[in-house]
Amino acid sequence: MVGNAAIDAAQNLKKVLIAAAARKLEAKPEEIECWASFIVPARRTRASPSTRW
Amino acid sequence: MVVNREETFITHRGRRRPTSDSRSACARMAASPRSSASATSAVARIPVTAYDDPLFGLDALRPSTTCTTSNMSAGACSPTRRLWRVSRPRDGRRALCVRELARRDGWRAQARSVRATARQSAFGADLHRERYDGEHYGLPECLDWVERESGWRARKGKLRRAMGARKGLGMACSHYISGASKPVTGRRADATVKIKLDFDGSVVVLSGAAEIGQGSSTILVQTVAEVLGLDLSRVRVVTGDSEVVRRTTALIPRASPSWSATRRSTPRRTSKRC
Repeated sequence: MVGNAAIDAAQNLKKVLIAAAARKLEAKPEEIECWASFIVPARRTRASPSTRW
Repeated sequence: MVVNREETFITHRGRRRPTSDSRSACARMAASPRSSASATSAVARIPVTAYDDPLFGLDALRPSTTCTTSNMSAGACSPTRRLWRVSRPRDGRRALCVRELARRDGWRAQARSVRATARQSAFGADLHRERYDGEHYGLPECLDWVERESGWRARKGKLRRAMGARKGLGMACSHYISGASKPVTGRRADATVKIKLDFDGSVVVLSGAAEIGQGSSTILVQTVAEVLGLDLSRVRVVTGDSEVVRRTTALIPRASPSWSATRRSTPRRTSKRC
């Protein structure tokens, strides 16, 4: 039904969130990793998440 | 316009069987925003209009036939979309069954194999893959996989007798396209989903497609949660309301391949855009 539309919408939202997080974390968007409910710069470990959304 | 479960079922799934004398049947459906919708089945040229709201409404027509149609010169590739094209009433009033229009307009109506139908569907057609960024729903590949894994080619034609009857292996499939994120029939997307991010970190998925018992709301939650990496409990779904999602054929199938429907007019939105 609307599966592809949902995927597109979610991916677009994810791009917006990553861009916003990158600005806040002073990092490049490609350096941002997303896992679980946390967005962290790629160089940091999972034990020290910086931004939770 | 809010379409409930039953109305969505009528507009999207309200298939009618051909009559006992093998004639095709048409179902005509009309809905207005403040009243319930109804549909009825009529044989060939007998449309029944339930409502006539001059301001807003849904006027849909769906023919039923036992075989698909083919008209490659017209540029159509989906059998169901061809049904929509040929069933579109030219005078806006009369409804003609597929076979009559096909004969009158010189369209070829022919039964096609399962594989040919699948490959000529909206997202399975090769000629559309490039246009739609290579996106399709994978039905031809699914059939190829079934054929390969079942050994269908090796077993084809090698029937064995058992209990006096020949037994073999058959393959059949069914598919239905009711929405797509890329435009199929025009410039607009056939399905629209909006996602709203709340302050508490949860998201709300706004979709025009109504849940009719097939679990689409659950799939929406799972899809969005997987892409965003969220827990399922942080995703909510609001469906079946054109107030939150505009121009979605999943709710109002104006260009849907399953129904030929036209909205007489669309009032401007007055509420806050999500």
